[in-house]
Amino acid sequence: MLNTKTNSSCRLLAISALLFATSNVLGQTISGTPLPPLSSVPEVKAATDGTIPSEVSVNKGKVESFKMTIGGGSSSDEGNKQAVQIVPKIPNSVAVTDLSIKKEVKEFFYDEKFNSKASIQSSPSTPVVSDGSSIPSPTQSQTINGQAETSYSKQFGTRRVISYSEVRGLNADIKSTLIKAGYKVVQAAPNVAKENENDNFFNVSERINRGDFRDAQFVLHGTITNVEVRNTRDFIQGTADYSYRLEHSLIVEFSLINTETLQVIASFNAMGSGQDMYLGKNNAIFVPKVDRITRELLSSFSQDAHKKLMDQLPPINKETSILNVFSSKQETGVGDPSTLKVYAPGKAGGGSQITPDKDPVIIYRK
Amino acid sequence: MKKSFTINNLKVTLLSLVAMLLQGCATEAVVRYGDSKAVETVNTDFGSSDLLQLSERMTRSILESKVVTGAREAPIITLAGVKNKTSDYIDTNAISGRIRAQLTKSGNVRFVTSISEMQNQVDELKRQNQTGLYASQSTSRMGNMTGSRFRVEGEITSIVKQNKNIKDVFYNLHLTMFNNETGEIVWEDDQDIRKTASR
Repeated sequence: MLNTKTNSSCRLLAISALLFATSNVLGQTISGTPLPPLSSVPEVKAATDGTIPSEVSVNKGKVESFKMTIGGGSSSDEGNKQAVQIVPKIPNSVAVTDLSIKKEVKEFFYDEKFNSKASIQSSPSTPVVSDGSSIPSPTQSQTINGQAETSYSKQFGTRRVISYSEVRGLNADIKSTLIKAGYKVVQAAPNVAKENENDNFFNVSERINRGDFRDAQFVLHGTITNVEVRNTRDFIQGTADYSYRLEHSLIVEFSLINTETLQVIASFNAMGSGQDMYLGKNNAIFVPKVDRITRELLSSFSQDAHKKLMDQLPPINKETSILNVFSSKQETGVGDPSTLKVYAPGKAGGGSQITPDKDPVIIYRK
Repeated sequence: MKKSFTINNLKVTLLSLVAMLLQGCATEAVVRYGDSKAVETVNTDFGSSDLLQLSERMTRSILESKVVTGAREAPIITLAGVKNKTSDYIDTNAISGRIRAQLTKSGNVRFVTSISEMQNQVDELKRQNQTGLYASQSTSRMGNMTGSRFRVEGEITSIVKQNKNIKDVFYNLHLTMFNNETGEIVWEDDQDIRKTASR
């Protein structure tokens, strides 16, 4: 019995050592269910062809499998037996996220409650005679139960409400810029805030691991850092009029991140503003045209983002570009000796003649 | 006493009758066109010759300044007005307007709407943008007015001295050009005129 336990312990140590060694050498992560108890540890054989098993199967006992994730992928302990596949990233592809925003609002609250509950219960007690008929008695006693309950509460003050969300519809021109620059644009999965969300909402690496950006090589992540709405009324000097103005402005921080290395390739702030104006007397009623403000805001924001993105955008890797594979054409007549013709002036002063006797001329492409 | 008063009354009445007769028989005043640039010396008050002289000298001084000669593009200037600090009535807009006209004609300087002209400018923008009468493609949009880089302002002052026989008037026109962004004075000049009248 002691001998059996010793053998089991040795086997467990061997498995642990094997897993530890492989994870250390390859920088891989091991995750899954906790190690099984000593009595249920089965025998495990390492692969003979030198490959590292991505899944270790156990023949008996409660633990069915250990799952190993390679390349920073998400781990799962649900016990599914699918082997992990390393999907190559699509070269020159960019996933563009909607713009993340954290809204922080301080609001006043006032809560006043008043509850009042009252009940009364009476039970007349009457003497009962032997023949079963009830006769009211002049000395009758009656029981009355009364109950009243009152509560009052008042609460007021300011509370801070923080919400996380994404703003859609501001990135179309940025996507257009990337497409025109030769990149393949992938739509990122929406980032939905959970209950009791925190600043982890902005964690791009977690979203990369979650697969929000599919197989995109880069992700362009934008976070709205400032939104301002300004409503002003100013006197115009030299006139009897005032200028009424509603202005919206926006500042967004962009980061272009490599999804494989998490390296920030480019980073910039883009800003835009749009306004609507009205000239009128002191007590004029100004109804702003919000569509005009939005149009101006988008236009100026897109121009700024386009300029800054083009300044920092890495050049397209043409060798691995998918676009290049589909659109490349074989150029004829350059570097191909079979298509080369040498022209020389004719002997009798005529036109040019082809002289095949001459040594071939080789033209090298630059 | 009473007799002499009556004689005096008669004399006055006769003289007024003669004056009325003479006025009735007088011919109409003769009107002639003269040289607008000719020197005018009617009295020592600020006159047309003074206006011409001062504006011409100031224009020349501005055109010779580094602000104009050293600029790649014609600098954009606005007129903030010339204050009248003399004892005479002088329409200073006539001085600044003449200087602006000469500078604009030279092509070396550009002017934008001054404060005194803003009401018309605002009214025009309101008419085009807020009445709904004009096609949006053709309207001059609000918020696109050109701002000036420089501002010219100044004042005209006078010193008057006189006795029984001589009246001496000294006029001084002082103009300054400011850089609107920095507040720096980029050009400044004085032009003087002295006028003396003697009996």
